[in-house]
Amino acid sequence: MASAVKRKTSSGKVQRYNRTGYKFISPAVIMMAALIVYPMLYGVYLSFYNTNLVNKWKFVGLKYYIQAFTQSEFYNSVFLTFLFMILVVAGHFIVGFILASILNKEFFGRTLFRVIFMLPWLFPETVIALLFTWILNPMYGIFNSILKSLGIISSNISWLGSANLAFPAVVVVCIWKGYPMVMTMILSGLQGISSDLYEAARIDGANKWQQFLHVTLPGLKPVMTTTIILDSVWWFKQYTLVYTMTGGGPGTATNLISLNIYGTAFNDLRFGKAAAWGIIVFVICYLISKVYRVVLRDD
Amino acid sequence: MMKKKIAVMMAGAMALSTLPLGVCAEESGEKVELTIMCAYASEDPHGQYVYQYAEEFMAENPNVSVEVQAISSNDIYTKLAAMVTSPDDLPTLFFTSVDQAPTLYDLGLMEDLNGYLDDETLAMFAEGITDACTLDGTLAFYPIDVQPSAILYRTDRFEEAGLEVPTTWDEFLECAKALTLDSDGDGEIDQWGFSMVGSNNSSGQSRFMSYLWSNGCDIIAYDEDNEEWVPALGDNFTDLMTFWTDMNNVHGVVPTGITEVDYATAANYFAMGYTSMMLTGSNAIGVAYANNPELEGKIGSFPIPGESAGTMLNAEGYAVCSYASDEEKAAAVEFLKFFSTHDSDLMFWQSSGKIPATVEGEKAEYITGDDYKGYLDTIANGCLEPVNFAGISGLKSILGDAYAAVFSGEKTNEEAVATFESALDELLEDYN
Repeated sequence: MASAVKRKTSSGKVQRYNRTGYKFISPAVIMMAALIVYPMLYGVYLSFYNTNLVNKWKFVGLKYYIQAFTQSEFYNSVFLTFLFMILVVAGHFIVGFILASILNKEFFGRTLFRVIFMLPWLFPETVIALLFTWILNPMYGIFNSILKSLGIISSNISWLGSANLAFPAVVVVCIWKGYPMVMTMILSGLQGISSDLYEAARIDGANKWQQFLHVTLPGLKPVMTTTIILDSVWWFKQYTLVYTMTGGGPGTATNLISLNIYGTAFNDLRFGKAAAWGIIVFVICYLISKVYRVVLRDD
Repeated sequence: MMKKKIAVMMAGAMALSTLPLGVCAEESGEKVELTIMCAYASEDPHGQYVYQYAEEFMAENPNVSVEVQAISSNDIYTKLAAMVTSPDDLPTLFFTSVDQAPTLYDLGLMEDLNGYLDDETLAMFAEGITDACTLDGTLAFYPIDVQPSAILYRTDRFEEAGLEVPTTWDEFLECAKALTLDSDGDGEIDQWGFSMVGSNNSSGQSRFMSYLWSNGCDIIAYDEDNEEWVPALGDNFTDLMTFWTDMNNVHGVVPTGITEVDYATAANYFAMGYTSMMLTGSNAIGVAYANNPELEGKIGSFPIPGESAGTMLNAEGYAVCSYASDEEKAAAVEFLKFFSTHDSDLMFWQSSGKIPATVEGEKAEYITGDDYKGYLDTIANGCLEPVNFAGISGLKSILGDAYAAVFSGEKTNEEAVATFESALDELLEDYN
């Protein structure tokens, strides 16, 4: 009997303990439900309607999902966004890696250069977009002027007005804007690799390339996994820079999925279609992170 | 337990305390607050007068406070469409034009002003202007000015080149070719015939629509029998598209980088002498004189070429938000009357180049010259009825996508038209 009472008392304590735990996490849970779960569920709900969110609610079922997979507009835009993301993230890693390797060495003025190379990250995206729009302006932009003075081109080029040039131009600007984050992460990763490992590799006869392959890369893997996921998802849903520079044009040359969805929702007021596409993009972003985690998993 | 009781009592007391406060606020005659989401205010050189008129109105009406929120006309519609889902934040008054009004009306944002304006006030407006602001019998917005589109041109350059004012688009193209030249002899074209707005935004899209209308292409029409909107592209839509895009791609009579030329850029090109003709509202006259006073006496205007009317009256003004309180609506209407009548010098209209919406305003000295002749002729010739299609913004978008794809070399005219037709069908399906 005494044992049963003790168990009951103990069980009651656990229950009270659990209740207290739930109380502590409830504000966070409520906030997450309100700010993340509810909007997502509402998005799913909207995607089944042809609606302007005010006075038009026409149930259309899976129409917009079917349209997304049967019309070229959606998957062309998704493909373009993937290409954009891959080029920009690759650019970030190439530039970031080179600069991080340089900045990891001892030389006079290293701190100053670290600050200078961080500057693009500090400017707001709109400022950078406007800056490059002026630099690349076909009538009075300095870029054309420099190329003409060097004899590389004979007449002004519309960098952001040509279907072939607008996309590469936007990619280059986005690489310039975003490499400092990757550079900083890699630099911090490099500083975390013990010099003993390099010394041991040298003693074992490893050359520079082998040291990079077997010491640097494995040492950076945890940092790179996080960075690549963050950077990929960030640039997959990029909006501001591209919108300010080209508005998604000319034509569909830079019409990333984020711009497409925004235009469909707030320009055309077809919120259902935009919601359906948004849900699909969410799934894509989730899959990207899953794939990266599988590919880059720490053995 | 005691603490809990005290907490509950205090919370209750705080909640109750808000009720008498609200009553007190109304009884004490607290200021009526008007917020105006205004596209005029963001523009030069006339934006300053919106603030000035607001200040003067507040001086005369100390019980009203007016806050002007400047926003680009290209963004105002999007912002309102987003805000309508949380109506508490909506402004009391917002700028609108005839091409945005149908969508905003469809969203239930516009108060019917028929109930607020007496006959005397309505008689103040020039002929046909209130019709241009009326949708389904609802006076959807209060007209401040009208902006029919016409062609602004450099009279001095036409004289130099021995050109006549064109009446067809073919003649227009010939004029544009004659006015495209290398003026400084360095081997590069530095002066273009036509200041086309080729950007894929509302400004560029509206001008392309005007061009289509002037060629008899309605784009869409309302089928009364089936009560639905249907495509009305006619049988030469591809030819029309080709003519428009060829002005850049083949003839080169428009400035380099045409998809980057928005209204402000095109107006500045015209003002600075880079271009000689521009399809625009009369507001570009204000921009031209403000940027280059030497143009006084060198600018003329003529109606859009083509056999059909190429423009609506394009009334612009302010709508009273239907979500505002009665008190705010009444104060808003008073402000609008004040705005359109109290400045006898019409500084807002004169500096902007806009044509006043009132009978008295249209007698103003500044619109009697050659520069406004084409606009007044356009009004006299009769303009198109407003198109009350709620998806007008989406329609303009897909038109813009079509010409931008051809300008940039991404698609041929035929491909762009095919894509446009498909997108139009989908759009109409969603809006019917």
